[in-house]
Amino acid sequence: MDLQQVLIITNNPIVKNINNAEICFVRGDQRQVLYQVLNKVAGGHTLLSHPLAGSIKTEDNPYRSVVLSTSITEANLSTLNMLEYCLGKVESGVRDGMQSRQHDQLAQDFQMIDKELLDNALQSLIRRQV
Amino acid sequence: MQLELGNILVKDVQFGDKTEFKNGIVYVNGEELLDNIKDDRLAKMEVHIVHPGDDVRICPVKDVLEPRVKVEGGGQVFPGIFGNAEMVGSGKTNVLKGMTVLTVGKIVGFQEGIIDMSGPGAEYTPFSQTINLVILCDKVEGLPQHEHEEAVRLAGLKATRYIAEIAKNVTPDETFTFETKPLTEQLSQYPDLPKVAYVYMLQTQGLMHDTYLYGLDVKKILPTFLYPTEVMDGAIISGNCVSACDKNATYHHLNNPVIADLFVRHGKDLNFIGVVVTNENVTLLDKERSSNFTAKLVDSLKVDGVIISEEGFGNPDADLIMNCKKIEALGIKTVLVTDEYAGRDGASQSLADANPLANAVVSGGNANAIIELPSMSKVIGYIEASKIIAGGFDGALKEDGSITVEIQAITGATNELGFNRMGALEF
Repeated sequence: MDLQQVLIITNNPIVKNINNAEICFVRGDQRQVLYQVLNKVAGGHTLLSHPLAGSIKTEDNPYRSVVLSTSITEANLSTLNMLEYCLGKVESGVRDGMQSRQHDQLAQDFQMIDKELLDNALQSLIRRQV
Repeated sequence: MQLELGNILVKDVQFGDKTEFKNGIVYVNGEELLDNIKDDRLAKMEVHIVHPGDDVRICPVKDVLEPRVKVEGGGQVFPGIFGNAEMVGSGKTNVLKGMTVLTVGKIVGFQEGIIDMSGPGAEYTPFSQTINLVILCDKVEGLPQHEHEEAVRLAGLKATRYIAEIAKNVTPDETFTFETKPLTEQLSQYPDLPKVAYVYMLQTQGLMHDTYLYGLDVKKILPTFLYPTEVMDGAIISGNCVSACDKNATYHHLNNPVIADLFVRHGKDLNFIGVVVTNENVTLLDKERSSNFTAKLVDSLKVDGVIISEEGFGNPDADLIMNCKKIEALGIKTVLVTDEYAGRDGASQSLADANPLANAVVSGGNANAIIELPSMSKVIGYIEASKIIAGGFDGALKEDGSITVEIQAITGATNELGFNRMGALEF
């Protein structure tokens, strides 16, 4: 797999320019990114990285980048189920009114951590044959 | 593989002219300690000693460690970080029991990790009950986060090794022997007892989320087998800086209660076969590969059941459920150890993944639960961090120094190895 075969859905401004990769930039929060991922997976794109970050609460973290395939096949039901479950987790945080922190001073750190997770995903994927 | 752990009960830790152990007291020459751990990447380091009951708040805590030293047997504690990754887990190891080495440093802005030595917050962390040698580390200007994390991690490990050396020639107050035989012998040792293994999930997703096995970044391993005593000798160390309540500090690994409790019941009502360590990666392919190899390895151990512990939350929930499903599919029973992010009222979805096969689950508690922490007369670290730490929110830090936070911010509050003071029972 090379970068031309991946689609990155992101709202992280430092992920805007990755050579050769197709980037779908979302103006919105993490929920909007995940709903866009859901649309793409329903349209037959394969989800390649997990939609949630690790050990950073979705309601705290403003940035998220998710990797899918550019190629289209039949929509994968189990992936859609997983996405629905993840969205349920994110929405429950919003319902609880837990998005109350000022993020401005932390923006760069959250962007950097999201980019780090993305880079690890891309490093793992570009070795893979599809 | 057999290990004798010798606990030296530490009555106090004090500063002194010479670093030594005398009459139950650990004396530390602070200057010499700092000299031993100096790093050009760290501009300023301070050493503090805090005791249970002190009116002190420590924040943000990066790692907690316990001084251990090899007395007999191969290798050295924290193999691969120190030495040539020689195998550990056999012979004799001395432990300075009752104290910790605790590193404090602000690596990213939202980093958490509060330890209160008294008051209501102290009830939520086991490290309010230990005497802590605190090392506060400030980086040089412009140091990238990767290097900052590594510098503070190594400072903690070197300080712990430096202190542990004084325990080498001390006769322990109490000793405990743990033994796991080579697989075929262990399987046949207690033919009438159920055979149980432990699947030890380690967080490994990149900066702030890494764990090391014999010095190797665990994201780069395939699941592998360990003798439990290797873990007691520091084969696994933490490079993890996020989610204070449920990250496994190095101290947790050294004192893993799942391993300890399996040994307590070993030969009585179960046969503890050993440990499978696995990782928690970013891509779905990596998650599938690691869980496939974990299930294959567990199958090859011929066990009847496994305990699976998670580290962290979010996408690692997917690894937990994959491990559970694939092992259950082999006819092997699983018990999961995790914690919950169930909202402040505890009514929301607890994990980001689920499956009907995950029908035996131990919870370390709800990380979203709110706590009021009164002001403390002394703060070691950066209290302003509590405004922005995970588990904090606007207005969290009040003018009088008190803070309102989710218990997620407290080091070890909902630990997923069960090394905490909270739990839930359902009947």
